[in-house]
Amino acid sequence: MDVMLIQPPTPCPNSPHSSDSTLSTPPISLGYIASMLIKAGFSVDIVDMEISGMRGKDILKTIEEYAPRMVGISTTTLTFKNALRVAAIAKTINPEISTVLGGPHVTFMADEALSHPQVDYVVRGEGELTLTELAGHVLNGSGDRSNIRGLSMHNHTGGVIHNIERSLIRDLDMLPFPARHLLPLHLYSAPGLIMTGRGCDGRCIFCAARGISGNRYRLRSVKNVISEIEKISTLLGLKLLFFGDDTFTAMPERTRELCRELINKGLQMNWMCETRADRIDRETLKLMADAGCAVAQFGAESGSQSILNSVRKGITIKALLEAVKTAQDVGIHPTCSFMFPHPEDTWETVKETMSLIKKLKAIGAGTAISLTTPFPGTYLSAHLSDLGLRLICDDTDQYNFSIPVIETKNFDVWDIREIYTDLVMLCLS
Amino acid sequence: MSPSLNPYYNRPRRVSEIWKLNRNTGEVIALATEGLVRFNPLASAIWLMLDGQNTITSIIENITTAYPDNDILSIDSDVMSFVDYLVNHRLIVLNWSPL
Repeated sequence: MDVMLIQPPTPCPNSPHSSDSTLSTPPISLGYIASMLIKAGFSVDIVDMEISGMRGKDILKTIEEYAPRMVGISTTTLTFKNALRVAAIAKTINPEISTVLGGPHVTFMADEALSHPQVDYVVRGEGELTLTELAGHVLNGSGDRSNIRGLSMHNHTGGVIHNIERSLIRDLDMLPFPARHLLPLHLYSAPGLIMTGRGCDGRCIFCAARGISGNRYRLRSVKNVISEIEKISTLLGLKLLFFGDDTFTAMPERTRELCRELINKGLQMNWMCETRADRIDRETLKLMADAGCAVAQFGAESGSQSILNSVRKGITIKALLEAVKTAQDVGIHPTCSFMFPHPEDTWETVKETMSLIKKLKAIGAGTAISLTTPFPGTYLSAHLSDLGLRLICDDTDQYNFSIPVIETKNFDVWDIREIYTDLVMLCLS
Repeated sequence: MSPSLNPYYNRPRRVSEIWKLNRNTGEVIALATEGLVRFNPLASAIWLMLDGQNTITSIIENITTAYPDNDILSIDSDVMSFVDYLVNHRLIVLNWSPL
């Protein structure tokens, strides 16, 4: 085998991506990379250790058996240390295996990743083109690796070289559909994950989406998306879709066009999406419902307008309530996700959040809460002390949204645990 | 004691992080499948150490230091039976590590 792409396991016993979780989705970004590699003539496989419940000895056996010449490991902040462990296992089996880390965490932490001797390369940003060019260089000896944009690597003196950045892929339609045939789709509770665009023009201080996939929306054509949905529904028999875009309704006119096409083509299977209160209106929601939308998730973040302003969320609580009520009206189940603690949160703003959660639940919306975590690439992470935050844990194995890793000027770790538990209980009540 | 509990080897780790500590009473309240459960101060002190790093033996040693007036055999037994209870209620896992 030429390339084995690996999704390492999370370090959490209650991972949201394990097979017994309520919403597990396939690593579609690895699916995209696999497709590009296949198109370029390489033999590829994907191993999702998390969903398959694979342990160290299992991946060791798998790498031994398939003998890949290159291993590409996807990393988030939470899985970073396990990605390093997987790379070390690969090197133990055969030091000649080229190990490559990619994904959101190492995009911003390439130096740290390359300080570990078991990591040969880091792919920063979108991986499809960079990894394919790297595979060509490593496996076929083609090209000069110093010309591969978006690549970081060791130099001959033990330092690190960062090649110049790769531009974001402008025309997403040029990408082949993800290689879903390489994924154990039957193991995921939401196997029908599909991305219709990349990027986000939001400026939220807690989110790294801008830094990873750009501050402008890049959207696939409706024709291209419909073609993938047809393939998913006919070839794979998937009947539930999950549009995984950061904001599915980023361009409402295009969302409506997509919905109209789903209806025209008779593809009204149930689907879920994520949206924003400032990027949605009744007409779009109605069309979404007609096209099969069953659940729409809104990023609510806080019940305090001053907090929303301070984290640059760019929405109003009034707009959120209107959007949620409208969604409910047209037959879409709205769910709202909150975060805590925000840098400026006080006991008073927490009360406002609790009050909004109660209001939303009374309307019939679902609610969920997670702990604010300063991920690399976020404004929050880069300005911790300016924002009055203290990092109390730098063990990335703990960055799972339910363990406090920061304290704020108003809340210590015990306050945060107490309020978080109360908010979870409120959301569950 | 569960036959699988080896105090020298086992490192218990909380499964859920949805819990809070009442700093006045020293009691932990945690979310279990059957709802909220409240632990007494000794059980709470044990709970705080269930981070996957401490072995049961080190937890017993720490509790013995923190509660010097208690009989060491009784602490030993209390810790073991509490860990056993938590395992049976799926509130902790032992030696959880995927790699």
